[in-house]
Amino acid sequence: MSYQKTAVRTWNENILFSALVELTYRCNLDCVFCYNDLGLQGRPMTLDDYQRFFGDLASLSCLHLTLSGGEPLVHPQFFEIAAKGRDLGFVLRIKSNGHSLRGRTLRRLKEEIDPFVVEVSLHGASAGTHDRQTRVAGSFERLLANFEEMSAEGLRFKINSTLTRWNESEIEGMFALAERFGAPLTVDPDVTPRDDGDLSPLDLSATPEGLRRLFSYGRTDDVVRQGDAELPTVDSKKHCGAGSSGIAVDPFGNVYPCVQWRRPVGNLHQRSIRDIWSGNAKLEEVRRLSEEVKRNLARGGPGMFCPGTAEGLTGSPIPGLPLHPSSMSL
Amino acid sequence: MTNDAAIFKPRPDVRFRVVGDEAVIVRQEDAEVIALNDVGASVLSLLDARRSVREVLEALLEQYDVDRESLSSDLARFLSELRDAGVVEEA
Repeated sequence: MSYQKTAVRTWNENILFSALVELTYRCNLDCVFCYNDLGLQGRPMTLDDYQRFFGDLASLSCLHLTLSGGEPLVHPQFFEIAAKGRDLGFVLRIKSNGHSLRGRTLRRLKEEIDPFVVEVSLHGASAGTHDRQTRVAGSFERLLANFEEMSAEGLRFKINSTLTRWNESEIEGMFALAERFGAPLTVDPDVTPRDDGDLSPLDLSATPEGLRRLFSYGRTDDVVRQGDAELPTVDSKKHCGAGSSGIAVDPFGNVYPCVQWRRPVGNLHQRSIRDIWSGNAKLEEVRRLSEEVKRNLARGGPGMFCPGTAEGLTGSPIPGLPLHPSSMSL
Repeated sequence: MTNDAAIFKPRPDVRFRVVGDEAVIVRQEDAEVIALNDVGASVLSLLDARRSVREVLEALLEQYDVDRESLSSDLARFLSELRDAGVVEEA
Protein backbone atom coordinates (compact mmCIF):
# COMPACT_ATOMS: atom_id res chain seq x y z
CA MET A 1 0.00 0.00 0.00
CA SER A 2 1.52 3.32 -1.00
CA TYR A 3 1.04 6.70 0.64
CA GLN A 4 -0.39 7.92 -2.66
CA LYS A 5 -3.16 5.33 -2.44
CA THR A 6 -3.86 6.28 1.15
CA ALA A 7 -4.10 9.92 0.09
CA VAL A 8 -6.58 8.98 -2.64
CA ARG A 9 -8.57 7.08 -0.09
CA THR A 10 -8.79 10.06 2.29
CA TRP A 11 -10.16 12.24 -0.52
CA ASN A 12 -12.59 9.67 -1.87
CA GLU A 13 -13.84 8.33 1.45
CA ASN A 14 -13.89 11.68 3.29
CA ILE A 15 -11.32 10.69 5.89
CA LEU A 16 -10.19 13.75 7.82
CA PHE A 17 -6.43 13.57 7.46
CA SER A 18 -5.20 17.14 7.65
CA ALA A 19 -6.19 20.18 9.72
CA LEU A 20 -4.89 23.73 9.58
CA VAL A 21 -5.57 25.69 12.75
CA GLU A 22 -5.26 29.46 12.91
CA LEU A 23 -4.46 30.08 16.59
CA THR A 24 -4.61 33.89 16.51
CA TYR A 25 -4.78 36.77 14.08
CA ARG A 26 -2.33 38.79 16.14
CA CYS A 27 1.04 39.23 14.50
CA ASN A 28 4.39 40.91 15.12
CA LEU A 29 4.58 41.93 11.45
CA ASP A 30 2.07 43.92 9.42
CA CYS A 31 2.17 42.48 5.90
CA VAL A 32 0.55 44.65 3.26
CA PHE A 33 -1.36 41.80 1.63
CA CYS A 34 -2.23 39.74 4.72
CA TYR A 35 -5.38 37.72 3.98
CA ASN A 36 -6.62 37.41 7.57
CA ASP A 37 -9.96 38.97 8.44
CA LEU A 38 -8.71 41.12 11.31
CA GLY A 39 -12.23 42.35 12.05
CA LEU A 40 -13.61 38.86 12.65
CA GLN A 41 -15.01 38.49 16.13
CA GLY A 42 -16.02 35.57 18.31
CA ARG A 43 -15.11 33.58 21.38
CA PRO A 44 -11.50 32.46 21.13
CA MET A 45 -10.73 28.78 21.50
CA THR A 46 -9.27 27.91 24.90
CA LEU A 47 -6.59 25.40 25.78
CA ASP A 48 -9.32 22.97 26.88
CA ASP A 49 -11.15 23.52 23.58
CA TYR A 50 -7.98 22.64 21.69
CA GLN A 51 -7.41 19.60 23.88
CA ARG A 52 -10.87 18.25 23.00
CA PHE A 53 -10.58 19.22 19.35
CA PHE A 54 -7.14 17.63 18.88
CA GLY A 55 -8.29 14.49 20.68
CA ASP A 56 -11.24 14.22 18.31
CA LEU A 57 -8.99 14.81 15.31
CA ALA A 58 -6.63 12.04 16.41
CA SER A 59 -9.51 9.62 16.92
CA LEU A 60 -10.70 10.43 13.39
CA SER A 61 -7.26 9.33 12.05
CA CYS A 62 -6.14 12.87 11.29
CA LEU A 63 -2.34 12.79 10.96
CA HIS A 64 -1.31 16.26 9.77
CA LEU A 65 -1.81 19.29 12.02
CA THR A 66 -0.66 22.73 10.94
CA LEU A 67 -0.59 25.61 13.42
CA SER A 68 -0.90 28.94 11.69
CA GLY A 69 -2.15 32.47 12.29
CA GLY A 70 -1.63 35.44 12.26
CA GLU A 71 1.62 34.53 13.87
CA PRO A 72 1.01 31.37 15.94
CA LEU A 73 4.05 31.96 18.15
CA VAL A 74 2.55 35.15 19.61
CA HIS A 75 -0.42 33.20 21.00
CA PRO A 76 0.18 33.31 24.77
CA GLN A 77 -0.42 29.56 25.07
CA PHE A 78 1.30 28.50 21.86
CA PHE A 79 3.64 26.03 23.55
CA GLU A 80 0.89 24.41 25.60
CA ILE A 81 -1.32 24.03 22.52
CA ALA A 82 1.48 22.74 20.31
CA ALA A 83 2.58 20.29 23.03
CA LYS A 84 -0.91 18.79 23.04
CA GLY A 85 -0.57 18.27 19.29
CA ARG A 86 2.81 16.65 19.77
CA ASP A 87 1.55 14.39 22.58
CA LEU A 88 -1.32 13.19 20.40
CA GLY A 89 1.10 12.08 17.70
CA PHE A 90 0.35 14.56 14.93
CA VAL A 91 2.81 15.43 12.22
CA LEU A 92 3.09 19.06 13.25
CA ARG A 93 3.75 21.93 10.91
CA ILE A 94 4.13 25.49 12.13
CA LYS A 95 3.53 28.37 9.72
CA SER A 96 5.43 31.35 11.05
CA ASN A 97 6.86 34.65 9.86
CA GLY A 98 10.07 33.63 11.63
CA HIS A 99 10.41 36.95 13.43
CA SER A 100 10.57 35.43 16.91
CA LEU A 101 12.32 32.17 15.97
CA ARG A 102 15.48 32.89 17.91
CA GLY A 103 17.04 32.32 21.31
CA ARG A 104 14.89 30.68 23.94
CA THR A 105 11.77 30.55 21.78
CA LEU A 106 13.65 28.66 19.08
CA ARG A 107 15.19 26.23 21.55
CA ARG A 108 11.84 25.61 23.23
CA LEU A 109 10.25 24.92 19.86
CA LYS A 110 12.93 22.40 18.97
CA GLU A 111 13.08 20.70 22.37
CA GLU A 112 9.47 20.81 23.54
CA ILE A 113 7.52 20.59 20.29
CA ASP A 114 9.88 19.08 17.70
CA PRO A 115 7.69 19.97 14.73
CA PHE A 116 8.03 18.05 11.49
CA VAL A 117 8.73 21.34 9.77
CA VAL A 118 8.44 25.08 10.33
CA GLU A 119 7.31 26.98 7.26
CA VAL A 120 8.70 30.50 7.30
CA SER A 121 7.61 33.41 5.11
CA LEU A 122 10.13 35.28 2.98
CA HIS A 123 9.01 38.43 1.17
CA GLY A 124 11.99 39.27 -0.96
CA ALA A 125 15.70 38.90 -1.42
CA SER A 126 16.52 42.38 -0.12
CA ALA A 127 15.74 44.36 2.98
CA GLY A 128 14.08 47.02 0.87
CA THR A 129 11.51 44.64 -0.56
CA HIS A 130 11.01 42.35 2.43
CA ASP A 131 10.60 45.19 4.93
CA ARG A 132 8.35 47.10 2.53
CA GLN A 133 5.94 44.14 2.51
CA THR A 134 6.15 43.37 6.24
CA ARG A 135 6.06 47.07 7.16
CA VAL A 136 8.55 46.38 9.94
CA ALA A 137 11.97 47.92 9.51
CA GLY A 138 14.80 45.48 10.12
CA SER A 139 12.62 42.39 9.69
CA PHE A 140 14.70 41.09 6.77
CA GLU A 141 18.05 41.28 8.54
CA ARG A 142 16.48 39.73 11.63
CA LEU A 143 15.01 36.89 9.56
CA LEU A 144 18.37 36.10 7.98
CA ALA A 145 19.96 35.99 11.43
CA ASN A 146 17.13 33.74 12.60
CA PHE A 147 17.64 31.43 9.60
CA GLU A 148 21.29 31.06 10.68
CA GLU A 149 20.21 30.22 14.21
CA MET A 150 17.52 27.80 13.05
CA SER A 151 20.04 25.98 10.86
CA ALA A 152 22.54 25.79 13.72
CA GLU A 153 19.84 24.50 16.07
CA GLY A 154 18.89 21.76 13.59
CA LEU A 155 15.30 22.91 13.19
CA ARG A 156 13.73 21.53 10.03
CA PHE A 157 12.37 24.50 8.10
CA LYS A 158 11.22 25.44 4.65
CA ILE A 159 10.60 28.84 3.17
CA ASN A 160 7.35 30.06 1.64
CA SER A 161 6.94 33.14 -0.47
CA THR A 162 4.04 34.77 -2.25
CA LEU A 163 4.93 36.31 -5.58
CA THR A 164 4.04 40.01 -5.69
CA ARG A 165 4.75 42.86 -8.06
CA TRP A 166 7.23 44.13 -5.47
CA ASN A 167 9.31 40.95 -5.20
CA GLU A 168 8.86 39.40 -8.65
CA SER A 169 12.20 40.82 -9.80
CA GLU A 170 13.95 39.03 -6.92
CA ILE A 171 12.88 35.44 -7.66
CA GLU A 172 16.41 34.27 -8.38
CA GLY A 173 17.69 35.99 -5.26
CA MET A 174 15.06 34.33 -3.08
CA PHE A 175 15.96 30.89 -4.40
CA ALA A 176 19.63 31.68 -3.81
CA LEU A 177 18.86 32.68 -0.23
CA ALA A 178 16.93 29.46 0.35
CA GLU A 179 19.82 27.48 -1.07
CA ARG A 180 22.24 29.30 1.23
CA PHE A 181 20.29 28.04 4.23
CA GLY A 182 19.66 24.59 2.77
CA ALA A 183 15.91 25.09 2.90
CA PRO A 184 13.41 24.39 0.13
CA LEU A 185 11.52 27.42 -1.18
CA THR A 186 7.91 27.22 -2.32
CA VAL A 187 6.44 30.15 -4.21
CA ASP A 188 2.71 30.83 -4.30
CA PRO A 189 1.98 32.74 -7.51
CA ASP A 190 -1.25 34.23 -6.18
CA VAL A 191 -1.97 37.04 -3.80
CA THR A 192 -5.45 36.26 -2.49
CA PRO A 193 -8.30 38.49 -1.34
CA ARG A 194 -8.67 39.17 2.35
CA ASP A 195 -10.94 36.68 4.08
CA ASP A 196 -13.52 39.45 4.62
CA GLY A 197 -13.84 39.80 0.83
CA ASP A 198 -11.64 42.89 0.57
CA LEU A 199 -9.92 42.71 -2.81
CA SER A 200 -7.31 45.39 -2.11
CA PRO A 201 -4.45 42.89 -1.53
CA LEU A 202 -4.80 41.95 -5.20
CA ASP A 203 -3.33 45.34 -6.10
CA LEU A 204 -0.03 43.73 -5.15
CA SER A 205 -0.52 40.72 -7.47
CA ALA A 206 2.43 39.80 -9.63
CA THR A 207 2.41 41.13 -13.17
CA PRO A 208 2.07 38.75 -16.14
CA GLU A 209 5.78 39.34 -16.73
CA GLY A 210 6.52 38.37 -13.13
CA LEU A 211 4.50 35.17 -13.45
CA ARG A 212 6.26 34.29 -16.70
CA ARG A 213 9.54 34.96 -14.96
CA LEU A 214 8.62 32.59 -12.14
CA PHE A 215 7.46 29.80 -14.42
CA SER A 216 10.37 30.20 -16.80
CA TYR A 217 12.82 29.93 -13.93
CA GLY A 218 12.57 26.18 -14.27
CA ARG A 219 11.38 25.63 -10.71
CA THR A 220 7.71 24.86 -11.38
CA ASP A 221 7.79 22.07 -8.80
CA ASP A 222 8.34 24.81 -6.25
CA VAL A 223 5.24 26.74 -7.31
CA VAL A 224 2.39 25.74 -5.05
CA ARG A 225 -0.72 27.49 -3.93
CA GLN A 226 -1.29 27.69 -0.20
CA GLY A 227 -3.95 25.03 0.16
CA ASP A 228 -2.21 22.53 -2.10
CA ALA A 229 0.78 21.54 -0.08
CA GLU A 230 -0.59 19.02 2.40
CA LEU A 231 -1.04 16.07 0.12
CA PRO A 232 0.44 14.94 -3.16
CA THR A 233 -1.63 15.23 -6.32
CA VAL A 234 -3.98 12.29 -6.28
CA ASP A 235 -6.08 10.45 -8.80
CA SER A 236 -9.52 11.27 -7.52
CA LYS A 237 -12.87 12.34 -8.85
CA LYS A 238 -12.44 15.43 -6.68
CA HIS A 239 -10.37 18.48 -7.59
CA CYS A 240 -8.82 18.82 -4.13
CA GLY A 241 -9.09 17.58 -0.58
CA ALA A 242 -10.86 20.68 0.74
CA GLY A 243 -13.62 19.47 3.04
CA SER A 244 -12.91 15.86 2.04
CA SER A 245 -9.62 15.14 3.76
CA GLY A 246 -8.80 18.56 5.15
CA ILE A 247 -10.23 21.45 7.10
CA ALA A 248 -9.17 24.85 8.42
CA VAL A 249 -10.22 26.38 11.72
CA ASP A 250 -10.04 30.05 12.69
CA PRO A 251 -9.19 31.36 16.20
CA PHE A 252 -12.90 31.47 17.11
CA GLY A 253 -13.64 27.85 16.28
CA ASN A 254 -15.22 28.41 12.87
CA VAL A 255 -14.52 25.44 10.60
CA TYR A 256 -13.91 25.84 6.85
CA PRO A 257 -13.19 23.31 4.08
CA CYS A 258 -9.73 24.84 3.55
CA VAL A 259 -7.68 27.88 4.49
CA GLN A 260 -8.51 29.27 1.04
CA TRP A 261 -12.17 28.25 0.96
CA ARG A 262 -13.72 30.39 3.69
CA ARG A 263 -17.22 28.94 3.60
CA PRO A 264 -18.13 28.17 7.24
CA VAL A 265 -19.36 24.62 7.78
CA GLY A 266 -19.65 24.66 11.58
CA ASN A 267 -18.27 26.02 14.83
CA LEU A 268 -16.36 24.01 17.41
CA HIS A 269 -17.99 25.88 20.31
CA GLN A 270 -21.32 24.47 19.20
CA ARG A 271 -20.46 21.04 17.80
CA SER A 272 -17.49 18.71 17.96
CA ILE A 273 -15.48 18.13 14.82
CA ARG A 274 -16.87 14.58 14.83
CA ASP A 275 -20.38 15.98 14.48
CA ILE A 276 -19.35 18.62 11.97
CA TRP A 277 -17.48 16.10 9.83
CA SER A 278 -20.27 13.59 9.37
CA GLY A 279 -23.73 14.18 8.04
CA ASN A 280 -23.07 17.84 7.32
CA ALA A 281 -25.01 19.22 4.36
CA LYS A 282 -22.60 22.14 3.95
CA LEU A 283 -19.60 19.83 3.71
CA GLU A 284 -21.48 17.51 1.37
CA GLU A 285 -22.06 20.51 -0.88
CA VAL A 286 -18.35 21.36 -0.84
CA ARG A 287 -17.49 17.76 -1.73
CA ARG A 288 -20.01 17.80 -4.57
CA LEU A 289 -18.62 21.09 -5.83
CA SER A 290 -15.09 19.68 -5.75
CA GLU A 291 -16.23 16.93 -8.12
CA GLU A 292 -17.94 19.47 -10.35
CA VAL A 293 -14.77 21.57 -10.46
CA LYS A 294 -12.78 18.52 -11.50
CA ARG A 295 -15.23 17.69 -14.28
CA ASN A 296 -15.25 21.27 -15.57
CA LEU A 297 -11.48 21.52 -15.54
CA ALA A 298 -11.26 18.27 -17.49
CA ARG A 299 -13.11 20.07 -20.29
CA GLY A 300 -10.37 22.71 -20.40
CA GLY A 301 -9.44 25.49 -18.06
CA PRO A 302 -6.60 26.94 -16.10
CA GLY A 303 -4.02 24.34 -15.09
CA MET A 304 -3.80 25.64 -11.55
CA PHE A 305 -7.15 26.42 -10.04
CA CYS A 306 -8.33 26.99 -6.49
CA PRO A 307 -12.10 26.79 -5.99
CA GLY A 308 -11.80 28.61 -2.66
CA THR A 309 -10.02 31.57 -4.18
CA ALA A 310 -12.43 31.51 -7.11
CA GLU A 311 -15.40 31.67 -4.73
CA GLY A 312 -13.79 34.60 -2.90
CA LEU A 313 -13.26 36.45 -6.16
CA THR A 314 -16.36 35.63 -8.15
CA GLY A 315 -18.87 34.14 -5.72
CA SER A 316 -18.61 30.74 -7.40
CA PRO A 317 -16.02 27.99 -6.96
CA ILE A 318 -16.72 26.62 -10.43
CA PRO A 319 -14.19 27.43 -13.17
CA GLY A 320 -15.41 29.16 -16.26
CA LEU A 321 -16.31 32.41 -14.57
CA PRO A 322 -14.00 35.40 -14.94
CA LEU A 323 -11.01 35.06 -12.66
CA HIS A 324 -8.44 37.55 -11.59
CA PRO A 325 -6.09 38.37 -14.49
CA SER A 326 -3.11 36.68 -12.84
CA SER A 327 -5.01 33.40 -12.52
CA MET A 328 -6.21 33.66 -16.11
CA SER A 329 -2.68 34.07 -17.34
CA LEU A 330 -1.72 30.72 -15.83
CA MET B 1 16.49 -13.26 16.47
CA THR B 2 13.81 -11.41 18.44
CA ASN B 3 13.50 -12.12 22.11
CA ASP B 4 9.89 -12.99 23.07
CA ALA B 5 10.19 -10.86 26.17
CA ALA B 6 11.39 -7.82 24.27
CA ILE B 7 9.17 -4.77 24.27
CA PHE B 8 9.06 -2.43 21.29
CA LYS B 9 7.82 1.09 20.80
CA PRO B 10 7.78 3.59 17.93
CA ARG B 11 10.92 5.72 17.76
CA PRO B 12 10.49 9.29 19.06
CA ASP B 13 10.47 10.88 15.61
CA VAL B 14 7.82 8.47 14.29
CA ARG B 15 4.23 9.64 13.84
CA PHE B 16 1.55 7.34 12.54
CA ARG B 17 -2.16 6.86 12.15
CA VAL B 18 -4.21 3.83 11.24
CA VAL B 19 -6.46 4.89 8.37
CA GLY B 20 -9.09 2.25 7.88
CA ASP B 21 -7.10 -0.95 7.59
CA GLU B 22 -3.81 0.70 6.67
CA ALA B 23 -1.15 2.54 8.63
CA VAL B 24 0.60 5.68 7.45
CA ILE B 25 3.94 6.28 9.13
CA VAL B 26 5.98 9.46 8.94
CA ARG B 27 9.61 9.31 10.02
CA GLN B 28 10.23 12.95 10.76
CA GLU B 29 14.03 12.83 10.83
CA ASP B 30 14.26 11.72 7.22
CA ALA B 31 10.90 13.07 6.05
CA GLU B 32 10.07 9.54 4.96
CA VAL B 33 6.54 8.21 4.58
CA ILE B 34 5.85 4.51 4.89
CA ALA B 35 2.51 2.80 4.37
CA LEU B 36 1.64 -0.57 5.89
CA ASN B 37 -1.13 -2.99 5.02
CA ASP B 38 -3.79 -4.16 7.47
CA VAL B 39 -1.62 -6.76 9.21
CA GLY B 40 1.28 -4.33 9.51
CA ALA B 41 -1.09 -1.71 10.91
CA SER B 42 -2.33 -4.19 13.50
CA VAL B 43 1.19 -5.03 14.61
CA LEU B 44 2.26 -1.39 14.80
CA SER B 45 -0.77 -0.51 16.89
CA LEU B 46 0.25 -3.18 19.39
CA LEU B 47 3.82 -1.90 19.79
CA ASP B 48 2.95 0.45 22.61
CA ALA B 49 5.95 0.18 24.95
CA ARG B 50 3.89 -2.09 27.22
CA ARG B 51 3.28 -5.40 25.43
CA SER B 52 6.08 -7.90 24.98
CA VAL B 53 6.61 -9.63 21.64
CA ARG B 54 4.93 -12.68 23.16
CA GLU B 55 1.88 -10.63 24.11
CA VAL B 56 1.77 -9.07 20.66
CA LEU B 57 1.80 -12.57 19.18
CA GLU B 58 -1.09 -13.65 21.41
CA ALA B 59 -3.12 -10.59 20.44
CA LEU B 60 -2.52 -11.26 16.75
CA LEU B 61 -3.51 -14.91 17.10
CA GLU B 62 -6.88 -13.70 18.34
CA GLN B 63 -7.29 -11.50 15.27
CA TYR B 64 -6.00 -13.75 12.50
CA ASP B 65 -6.72 -17.36 11.62
CA VAL B 66 -3.14 -18.54 11.23
CA ASP B 67 -0.95 -21.10 12.96
CA ARG B 68 1.26 -19.93 15.82
CA GLU B 69 4.54 -21.03 14.29
CA SER B 70 4.05 -19.21 11.01
CA LEU B 71 2.82 -16.07 12.71
CA SER B 72 5.68 -16.09 15.18
CA SER B 73 8.19 -16.34 12.36
CA ASP B 74 6.47 -13.61 10.32
CA LEU B 75 6.23 -11.34 13.35
CA ALA B 76 9.94 -11.70 14.13
CA ARG B 77 10.84 -10.90 10.54
CA PHE B 78 8.47 -7.92 10.44
CA LEU B 79 9.80 -6.49 13.71
CA SER B 80 13.30 -6.78 12.35
CA GLU B 81 12.24 -4.90 9.21
CA LEU B 82 10.54 -2.17 11.24
CA ARG B 83 13.64 -1.78 13.37
CA ASP B 84 15.91 -1.61 10.33
CA ALA B 85 13.61 0.97 8.78
CA GLY B 86 13.94 3.17 11.85
CA VAL B 87 10.28 2.85 12.79
CA VAL B 88 10.55 1.05 16.14
CA GLU B 89 13.10 0.50 18.86
CA GLU B 90 13.28 -1.61 21.99
CA ALA B 91 11.63 0.11 24.94
